[in-house]
This record gives sequence, structure tokens and C-alpha cells, in this order.
Amino acid sequence: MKHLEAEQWSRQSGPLHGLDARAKLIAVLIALVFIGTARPWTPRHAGFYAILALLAALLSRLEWSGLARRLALILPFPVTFAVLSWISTGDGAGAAGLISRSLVSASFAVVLIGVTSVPSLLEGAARLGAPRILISVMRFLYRYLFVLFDQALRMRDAASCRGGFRWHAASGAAAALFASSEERAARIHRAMLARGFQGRDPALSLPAWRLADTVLVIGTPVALATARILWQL
Amino acid sequence: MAALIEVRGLEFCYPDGTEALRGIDLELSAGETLILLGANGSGKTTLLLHLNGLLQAKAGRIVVCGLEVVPGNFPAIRNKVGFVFQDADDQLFMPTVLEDVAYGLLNRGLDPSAARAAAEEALADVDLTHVALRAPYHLSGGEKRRAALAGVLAMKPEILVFDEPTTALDPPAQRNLAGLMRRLGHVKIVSTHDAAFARAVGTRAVFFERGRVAGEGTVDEVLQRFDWEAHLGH
Repeated sequence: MKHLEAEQWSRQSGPLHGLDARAKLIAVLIALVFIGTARPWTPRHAGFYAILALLAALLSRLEWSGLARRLALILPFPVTFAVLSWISTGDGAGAAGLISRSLVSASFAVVLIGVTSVPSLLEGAARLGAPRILISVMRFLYRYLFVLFDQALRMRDAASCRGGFRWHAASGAAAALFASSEERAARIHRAMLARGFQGRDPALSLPAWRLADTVLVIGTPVALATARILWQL
Repeated sequence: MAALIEVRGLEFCYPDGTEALRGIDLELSAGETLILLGANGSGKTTLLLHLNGLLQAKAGRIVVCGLEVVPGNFPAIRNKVGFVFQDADDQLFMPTVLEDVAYGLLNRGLDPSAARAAAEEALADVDLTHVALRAPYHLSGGEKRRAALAGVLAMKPEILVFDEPTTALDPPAQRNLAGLMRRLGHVKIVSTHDAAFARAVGTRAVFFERGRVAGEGTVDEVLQRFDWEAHLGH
């Protein structure tokens, strides 16, 4: 399934891969809070946080092209909001700030997901006290999103073999896609239940909390707070 | 000898109104491999899904290893009944084969190192040690089937349930699977259309027709009585 391909990134080895998911999650949340609360947001702020995001990307040892592709997927959303904001307020600088702020925030999130498998990330969030029900919903959403994607690819292949995709057949195809995905999701759920699934996906190996994790969790807010106090970043 | 599986008067109806099972009675004792034969839609898979509570009966009663199949007993029954599904892709959803095989053990509360050891042992039992760290979608059809079986064997069930295990397997992979299944000492219940496979692994057979047991006996008797091979075009 495609989610297994997507998770190949998180199975590589790099300085950030071996850190505890909780530490990475906390560090990214702290960075996002600092980015979100920077007032005013100037090109200097954008540059500073962009350099931090680049450093994180360097440490992650992930492919630059892959990171760029993932960021490009996110880009249309802030651009849409920025354009709407520009049209309604006429504030071009504010709109550009919205895009740059969103992009640096997304960069941290993309690196986090690149160096941590989604099951580990969700397990980390659960251990940090996120509600179990929310974690379960996110697990199923994640797993079934790819079931849907897999089904769509199969249907596309089937359509290609019979003359290709036609727009006027799209609504029927979408209905068939959801029906067949629902059926497949039910089969996967049965297979999970048959092997004792009780609402949790325990991981075979979770990295133990180490000194590096403590340094990351303490170092991130200290460094960002220092930058804010000394240079108003 | 006490039956390990006892099914009495089982009835089941799908939400769309299809009556899939109409009063099934059957028993399975230690040492047996029961083959379920019958056309598509005759109720074989529906019966199998009842054995560990994945479907719940409209009427009737199922007792597995002395435990009635009711929601309160599901965790205990799912430890005793290992289910190998028809489509291995539905069963293999973890990022690596090893993690998938360990999935049920971790759900059972085993600590990760014990789960890893048991998973490695189960992979060795099905000759798949060499693919432990590979992604399941990179395996061949036969390997996927054996990986799915390893995930079930790792949980040390007493009963193994196989739903159409030879689907999409080539003849060498079918022979390999039949050999592997014969080596396993578990009580087995196998739904299949494949007469040669049924002969290779079965000790007894039941023929399903429109949700009812139409006949039972040795595998050869049932195959002949219902002219199953001619039906398959053999």
C-alpha cells in the first residue's frame, strides 16, 4: 500500500530519526508557537525561521526534491488564503507574510513527518496525553486514506485498459470508489480484529528517551526565546 | 472426544436481506482438517467469519474450545482461532513483515522484545526469515500468503481458519502451502474450491449449498457425491 512507501523515509537513519517521537513533537509544537506568535512578521523573521527549517532538513538527511514536493502540495492552501486576504484588505505585505509564515511552519511539519513514522508519531502523541479516541480516529483516517488512494489507482488502471478516463463517468466512478474502499476497509478492520485489535496499534520498537531528547525539548524553547529577547525574532 | 468447534442451528442474514446461513450444524475435533466446499455465495466464508466473532449470528450457537462465541469471550476466542484471510493484502498492513507478524502479539500485550522473538520464530516456521525487514507489498503472492500465516502462527492459536488459501497462487506455491499446512499440527478449517488442494490437506469435507450443509464425508466422497471436479471443469 502507498502509505508503506511513504513511510520508507521515516525508516532511514539520520540524527533526527532516532530521537523519541515525543521529543520531536514537542520541539516542533514549540517552534510553531514561536512562529505563530511572532509580531510583527517581517522578512527578517521569515529568514530566521527558514534558516532553522533548512538546518532541520539538513539534519534529517531526507531528499531535498522530496521535501520540496511535499511542501509544494501544501502551498496552494496558504496561497489561496493569502490571495483572498490581499483582495479583501489590499495588504500585499500581509499576504506575503501569511505565505512565508505558513511555509516555514509547514517545513517543520514536513521534516517531522519525514523522520518519524506516523504510527510512532501517533503513539508519541498518545503518550503525551492526547485523547485515545482522537488518536484512534487519526490512525484509521491515515490507514483508510491510503486504502482509498489504492482503490483509486486500481480503478484508474482499469479505466485506462478500457479506453481511459471520461469526465462524464466521474460521478459514478467516485461512488464506486467509495463503495469499494468501504468494503476493503471493512476487510482490513476484520483482519485487525482477528488479531486482537483493541483500539491501539502498539509499536514493535519505540526509541528510548535519551539525553539528546532532553536537549532537544529544553534547547528548542531556550534558543527561540533567546532569539526573541535579544533580536526580537 | 470433545469437539473443539461446535456449531448448532447457525443462521445469519446480511443487512441487504441475503440469507447467508440457514441452520448450520457442524463439529470439528482435534486432529481434523475440515474442508468447506461449495459454490461462491454458498456461505463458506460467512461461516468462517462467525468462528471468532467477526460476524454475529442471527440465531444458533457456536462453541469454540469450550467458550461460547459471544462478545465477552471475543478476546479469548481470537487467541485460540487464527484466521488467514482470502486476500493477504488485507491482512498485511504494517510497514515491514516482521512488524506485521508481531502485530497480534503486541495487541495481546506482549512486551516488544518477546513479540519480536516470537515473530522471528514464526517467520522461520514458514521459511520467510530472509524477508523479515522487507515491506509486505514487495513479496510474491506465495510469500504474502505465508507471511499472513506467520502472523497467525505467532499467536499460537489452537485452531487455524483458512479462507480460500490458494486464491491467486501458482501451482508450485499451492503445493508449497499444502506441504506447510500438513506440517502444522493444528486443527484446521479450510474453505476452498480447489479439489486437489482439498485432497492434499483435508481429512473430512462438508459441502455447502445456498447457506446449508448439503452433505459431508471424506474429501473424496464429498467431491464425488457433488461432482465437484466436473463442476470445476476438471
